[in-house]
Amino acid sequence: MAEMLMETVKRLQSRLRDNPESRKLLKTLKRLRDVPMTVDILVETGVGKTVNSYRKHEAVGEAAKSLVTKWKKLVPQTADRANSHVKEPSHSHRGHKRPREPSPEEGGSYAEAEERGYHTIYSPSPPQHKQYSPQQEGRYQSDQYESPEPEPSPPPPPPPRKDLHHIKPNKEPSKNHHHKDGERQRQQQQHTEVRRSNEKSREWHQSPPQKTAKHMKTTTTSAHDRKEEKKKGGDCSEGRRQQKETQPQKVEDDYETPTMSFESFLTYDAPTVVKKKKKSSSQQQQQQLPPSSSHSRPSQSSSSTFSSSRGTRSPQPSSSSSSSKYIKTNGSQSTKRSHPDSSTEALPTPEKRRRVVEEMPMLPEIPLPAIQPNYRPLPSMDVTPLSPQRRKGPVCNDEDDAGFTGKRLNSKMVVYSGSKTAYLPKMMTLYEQCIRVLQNNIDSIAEVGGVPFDILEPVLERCTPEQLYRIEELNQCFTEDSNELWRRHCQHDFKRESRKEYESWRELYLRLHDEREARLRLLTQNITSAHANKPKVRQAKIAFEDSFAKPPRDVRRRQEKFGTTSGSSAASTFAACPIKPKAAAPSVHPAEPSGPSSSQFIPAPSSSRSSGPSAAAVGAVALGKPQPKKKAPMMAKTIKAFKNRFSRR
Amino acid sequence: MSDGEERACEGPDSMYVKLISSDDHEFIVKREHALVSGTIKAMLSGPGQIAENETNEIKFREIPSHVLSNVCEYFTYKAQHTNSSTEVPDFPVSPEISMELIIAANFLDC
Repeated sequence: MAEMLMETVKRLQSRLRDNPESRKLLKTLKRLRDVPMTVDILVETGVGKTVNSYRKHEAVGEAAKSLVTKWKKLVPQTADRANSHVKEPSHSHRGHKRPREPSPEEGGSYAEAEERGYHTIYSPSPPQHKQYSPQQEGRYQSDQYESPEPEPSPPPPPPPRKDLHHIKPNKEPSKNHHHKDGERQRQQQQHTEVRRSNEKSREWHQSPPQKTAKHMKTTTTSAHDRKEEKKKGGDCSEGRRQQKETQPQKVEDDYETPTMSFESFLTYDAPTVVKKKKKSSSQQQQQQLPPSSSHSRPSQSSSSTFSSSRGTRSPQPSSSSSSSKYIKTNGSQSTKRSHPDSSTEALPTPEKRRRVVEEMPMLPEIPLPAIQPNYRPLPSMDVTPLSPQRRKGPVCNDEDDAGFTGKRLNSKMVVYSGSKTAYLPKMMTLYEQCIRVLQNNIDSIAEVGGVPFDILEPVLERCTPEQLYRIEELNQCFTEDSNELWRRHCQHDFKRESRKEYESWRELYLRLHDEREARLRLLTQNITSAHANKPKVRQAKIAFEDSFAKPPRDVRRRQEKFGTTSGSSAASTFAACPIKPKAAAPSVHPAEPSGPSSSQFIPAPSSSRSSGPSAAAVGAVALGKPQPKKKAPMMAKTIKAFKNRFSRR
Repeated sequence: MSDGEERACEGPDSMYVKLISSDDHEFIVKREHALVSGTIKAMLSGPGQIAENETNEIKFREIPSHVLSNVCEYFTYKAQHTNSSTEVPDFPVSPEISMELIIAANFLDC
C-alpha cells in the first residue's frame, strides 16, 4: 500500500514538474491532497519540494501553499527533535554546519559539510534529496511563520541545527542540502534540524551562534523580509532562488567578490547596526571556517550584496538575513555564506559607517568660511583706531577658529583682496591722486580749462605722440611748453634724424611722422598692385555653367519617375541636386526653383546665390512655365526634408 | 558725534572751521583736518590779523562746491590713513572733476 502510494505520489510529482499548465497543476495538487501522505513518502519523493516550488504560481500558488502546510503538519515531532540533536551529520548543510558553527570544530565540520554538500550538489542523491527536501521545506515554511517564537530561547545548540535546516527550506538549497545531507542520512535529525534550521536557517548564513541570535531576531524579520522579498521578487536572488540548479548558484557565488571589505563597503550605507556584535562574532566564526570560507566567500559576498541591497530596505539585520534567505534559495552553501556574510557585513558596516559618519561632519565645513566671532563690517571712515586691525583681523580669525578647516592654523598668511596696486605704498596728496586719475584717462582729456601746463605735465609725459598732438590741438597753450616732450618722442621714434634749423622738436616729429606715413602708403600701393597682377590662387567659379551635369543614378530614376527631368542644364541640375536648392532658394529666390539647382555645385553659398539668379534666369528662359510646375513636388520635398538644415544661409 | 562741544567756529581755538565755496556752500570741517592743506593752514594761523583768524571761515572764490566737497573728503581720508600701518586704498577721484580738483589741489597744496 505504501509503495502504491509512493508510486502515485511520484507520478503526481512528475506530473507537477512536467506540466506547467495551471489547470493540470491544480488537478495534480488536488490529487496529492487526497493522497494520505506520510513523512516517509515526503522524504523519499521530495514531493513537498516540488509542490513548494509552485508556491508562487499564479493560479496554483494558494493550493500549493496549503498543501505544503498540510504536509508540514505531518512532521511536527521530528522538527522538535531536531533541536535536541546537537551534532548531526546533517544531510543538509545546515545540520552539519549548525552544530559546527558554534565552535571552531563545528566550523571545521561546517566547512566539511559545506564541501561535501558542495560536492553533493553536483552529485545529487535522489533519496537523500527527497528525504531532506520535503521535511526541510515543510519546516522551512512553517518555521518562517513560526520564526519569532523558537529562535530567541536556545542560543547555540539549536541555532546551528536550525541554521542547517534553515538553509534547506529553499527549494534549491534544500536540494543541495539534500545532496549534501544524503551522506549524513539522519532524517530525524534533519527533521528537527529542519525545523530549527528553518527558523534559524535564515540566520544560518551568519555565524552559528551569532547567526542564531540573528536568526532569532532576524527570523521574524527575515520571515517578514522573506515575504516581502518574495513579493517584491525584484531581487536577483529571488530569480536565482527560482532556479533550482545548484550550478547557477555556484556560478553566482563565483561572481561575488570574496573580500569582506567589499561587503562592508557594499553595506556601507546600510542602516543595519543592531546586531553588530553578533554579526561580528558570526563573521569571526565564519572566518574561522577556512574551507567553508571558500564557498562562503562567494556566498558571503553574495549575501553581503543581497544584504546590502536589502539593508536599505530593512534597517535591521533581518535584511541581511532576508538577503541571506535569498541566497539560501540559491544554494545552501551560498546561503550559509550569506549568513556569515551578513554577519560580517554587520560588523564592518557599522564600523565603517561609524567611521564614515565621523568623517562626514568634517567635509561640509571645509568649503564654507566660518563666521568668525570677530567679524566686523567695513569700518566707517571715523573709526580710526580699528583701521590698523582691519586687515589683520580676518587673517587672525582664520587662525583663531580651531574648528574651521584645520589648515593654516599656525601659518601667517596675509590675505590680499584685490590687486597690489589697489593699496598705495604711501599717502598721496590730493594732487597726486588727481594726477593718477588723469593719467589713467588721458584719452578723456579734452579741454583743459585754465590748467597750466606745469600742473598737467606728469600727465602729458605719459601721452603718446598722437595723444599729445590731440591735446595740443585742443589746448594751444600747451604747444609752447611741450617741446621737451616732443623731443623725447623724436628720440624715441626717429633716432637718426636731426632737426633742421629753427625747427622745434615738435615740427621735426611731425615732419618725420608724415614722411613715414607717406612711405608706408607708397609701399602698400606697390604691394597691392603687385598682387593684382599675380594670378589668383583661389577663385570661385561656376560649375556646369554651360554643360549638362549628369545626375546620379537614383536621382535620375526619380527624375524619370516624377517627370522632373529637364532638358536645360539649370533645370536638370536643380532636379538632380535637391539638397542645395532648398538652401539657395529661400535666400535668393524663394519662388525660383530652378535657381538653386545650379548652386549645388558651387561651394560657397554666396557664390551659389550669385549663380542662382543667373541659373534661374537660364532655367526659366530655357524651360519656361511647365518646369516650375513640375518642380513643385520636388521642391516641396526638398523644403520639407531640409527645412532645418538649410534654413537660411 | 558727541563732541561735548558745539560745532562752533567762533574763537581762535574752535574745533571746527568753515570753508566756503565759490557758490556759497559752507563746509564745516574739523580744524585739524583742514590744516592738512598748507594754504588753509597759512590762512588760519599765519602771522597778522587776517579775518579768517577771527571767524575761522575761509572763502574760496575759485573753488566750486562740488570740488570743495571732494577736498573735504580728502581731508578725512588723509586723517584716517595717516600713520596707519594698513594698506591705504586709493582716494576715489571721479575723472569728470579731476581737472578742477587738480587745480584746487594745486592751489590748496594738499
